[in-house]
Amino acid sequence: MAAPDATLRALAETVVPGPPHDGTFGAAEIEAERFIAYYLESVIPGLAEGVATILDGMAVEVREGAAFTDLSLDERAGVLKKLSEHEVQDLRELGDLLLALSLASVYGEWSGLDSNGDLSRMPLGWELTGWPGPAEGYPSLLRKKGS
Amino acid sequence: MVRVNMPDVVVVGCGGGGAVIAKELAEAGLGVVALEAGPWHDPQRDFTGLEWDMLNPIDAVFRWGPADRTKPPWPRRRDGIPLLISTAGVGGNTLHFGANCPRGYPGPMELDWPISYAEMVPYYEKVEATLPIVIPEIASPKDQLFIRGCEKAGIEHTSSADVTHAGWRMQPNAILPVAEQAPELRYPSTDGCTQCGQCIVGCRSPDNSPLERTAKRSTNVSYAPLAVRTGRCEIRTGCFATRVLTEETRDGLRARGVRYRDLDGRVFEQDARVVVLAGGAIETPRLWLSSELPATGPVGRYMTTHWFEYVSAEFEAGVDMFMGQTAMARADFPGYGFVESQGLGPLTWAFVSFLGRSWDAGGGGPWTSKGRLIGSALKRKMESYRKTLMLVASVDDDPDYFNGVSLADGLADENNPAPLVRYHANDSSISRREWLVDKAAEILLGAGAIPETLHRADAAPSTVHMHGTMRMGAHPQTSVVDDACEAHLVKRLFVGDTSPFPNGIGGPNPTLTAQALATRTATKIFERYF
Repeated sequence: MAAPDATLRALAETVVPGPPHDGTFGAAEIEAERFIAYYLESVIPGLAEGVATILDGMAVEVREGAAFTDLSLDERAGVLKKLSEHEVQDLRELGDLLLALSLASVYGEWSGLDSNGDLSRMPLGWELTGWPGPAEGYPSLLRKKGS
Repeated sequence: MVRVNMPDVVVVGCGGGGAVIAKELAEAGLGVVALEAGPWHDPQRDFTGLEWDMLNPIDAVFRWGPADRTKPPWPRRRDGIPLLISTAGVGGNTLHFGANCPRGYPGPMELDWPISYAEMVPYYEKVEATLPIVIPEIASPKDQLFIRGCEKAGIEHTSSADVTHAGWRMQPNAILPVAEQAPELRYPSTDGCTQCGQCIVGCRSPDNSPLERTAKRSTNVSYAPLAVRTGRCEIRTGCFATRVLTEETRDGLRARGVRYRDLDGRVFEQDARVVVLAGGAIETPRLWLSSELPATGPVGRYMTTHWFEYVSAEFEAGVDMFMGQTAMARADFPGYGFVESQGLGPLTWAFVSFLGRSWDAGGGGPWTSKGRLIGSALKRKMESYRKTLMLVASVDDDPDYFNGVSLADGLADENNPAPLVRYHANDSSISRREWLVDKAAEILLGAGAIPETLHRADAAPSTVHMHGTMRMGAHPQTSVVDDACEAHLVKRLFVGDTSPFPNGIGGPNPTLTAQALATRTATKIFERYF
C-alpha cells in the first residue's frame, strides 16, 4: 500500500476500528482510505499526501522515528485530538474533517456503492447499526382507512 | 416556462422567504423575477435518501455551492462557529429543514420587535393555511417516548399556537396530513406523508408524487410553484446575484436592480422598481457589503442562532428513531427555548452526537459521556442506534453586536468576497442551554432511558437556525431596515428572509416567522410602491 493510503487507513481505523482491535468490522475492512483520499483531494488537490505528512510529523513527537502507522490506536487517537485542538485554525478544521470523513466512510452509504455509484449491497454502517436504509414509508404509522 | 422581461420586483434568493414574497407579489398582480443561485430540484429524480449523497458539505445535493457537483463548494470563513449549514436551490434551507413550524414566542417578540405579536398573527395564519401546517394525530415511537418523558417530568400538555407558558404539544409541521393505509405506498394510491423519516435528507414522499403533492412543504414544492402558476413570476436558477444596483435621487439612494452571474459565468443586469434580498442571514449582508452600500448602522451585526445541544440515551426496547416525521412533538420553555425528539439516520445522528467540541469529557451530572467518541466506544454507541432516543435542545439567544457577518480578507468565490461568520455565545445563552439540557435529561429518564447511557454531544455552535444580521427597527443607527423591512438608507430595497429578526424569537424554529414576516413585507411593498 502506498504511504498516504496506509496512513489514511490507520487514521480511519482509529476512528472506527475492526479486528483485531474490535469484534466487528471497521474502516480498514472496507478500505476507507479510498473514500477519505477522494474527498481530501476534492477539497484541495494534494491534500491526501499532505495529511499523511502531517500525521507522520506528529507521530514523531509521540515516539521518535515512528510513523503514524506505527502508533497504537490510543497513540493515534492522541494525535487526532492534538490536531483538532491545534492553535492554527486551518489545522483544527483539518482535524475535524479527518474525523468526519472517517466516520462517514463507514456509517454513510459509500461501502454499499458499486463502481457506477449505485447502491448495490448493504453498506457496513447499516449492518453495524441495524438501520434498514431509506424506506418509502411505514404503513404501521399511517392512518387507518376512514379514520 | 414563464418569462418576465421587465419585472416590477426582483427577488434575490428563492428559499424559505424569497419564494413567499415572489408568490404574494405575483398574486397581487406584479411581475416578479426570482434569482436563485442553485437548481430547482425534482425530488423524485434527485433525492436519493442517502445521507452522505444528500447532506455532505463538499459535493452533496444539499450544499452551499454551484449546481454542478463536480465544482467545489463556495467557501466561507468561520470564527467560533464550525458548521455553517446552507443549501443553494429553490427551497433554500427549507429543502433540508425538519419542517417544524411553530410561531415565535410572543414574549420575546413583544420585547424587541417593532411589530406587535398581534399584528403578526394574521400573517402567521395565512402561511399556516397556505403551506399548510398540520398537527399530526399519530406520534411515531420516538415521539411517544418523548411525550411519556414530558409527562413524567411534570410538563403539562398544551395545544395553543401562541406559547406563553411551558408545555409539550404535538408538533406543528409543514407536512401534508399523514396518508391513509393503502395497497401500495405510491402516489396516487397513497397521498400525503408516508412517515418515511426522510424530512431532513430530502422529502420525495410519497413515491411518484407530483411536485406539488410532495409531503414536506419546502418552498420548492409549495410557494415556488404557486408563484409560477400566476404566470407573472419567473424563477431563474443558477443565477447568483453579485451586486445591488443603485442610483442617487433627490430623495437619496435607491435600488434600481441587480447584477448577477449565470452558470456559464455570463453577467447580466436586471432592472426592477423594487429589489428584495432574501438570500438568508449570511448571504444578504454579504451582498449588501459586496455592493458597497452604506455600511453605517449594524449591517451584518447582531446575528442570533439557537445553539443546539443533542442528547441521546438507550432504552431496553427498540425506539427506531428513523420511523416517522423527523420531529412530531415538542416541549416549549419560554425564557429558555425548546426541546424535541428528533429522528435521524445513523450518519447524521453520529455527526451531531459524537463530533462535539470536547473529547469524551466523562459527562458530569446525569451524563455518562460527553463530547467526541471514537474507537470501540463509538462503535458500541452506534450499535445501539435502534434502541436510542435523541433529543435536541434549541436555545434562545440574545443579540450581540459582535456576532455576525463581514467580508473575509483574502478569500473569495467566483461571485464576491467570501463571508466571515463570527459567533461566540454570550453568558445568558450558555446558562439557558444548561437549563434546557437538564430538562432534556429529566425527559429522557422519565421516558425510561437506561441511566448509564446518557450522552450529551457538547455540540459546537452552528447555523441550523440563523437570523438577525439585517435587524429591523426604528433608527438607522441601531437597525438596517424599518418595520416594513425596507432599508433605512436605500429606498426600494427590502429584506425578505430571517435577517431582519431583532432577536432569536425565544428559541423556536424560525421558518414560519420568516414566512409570516415575508408575507407582511409583500403587502408593505405593494402599498408603498404600486
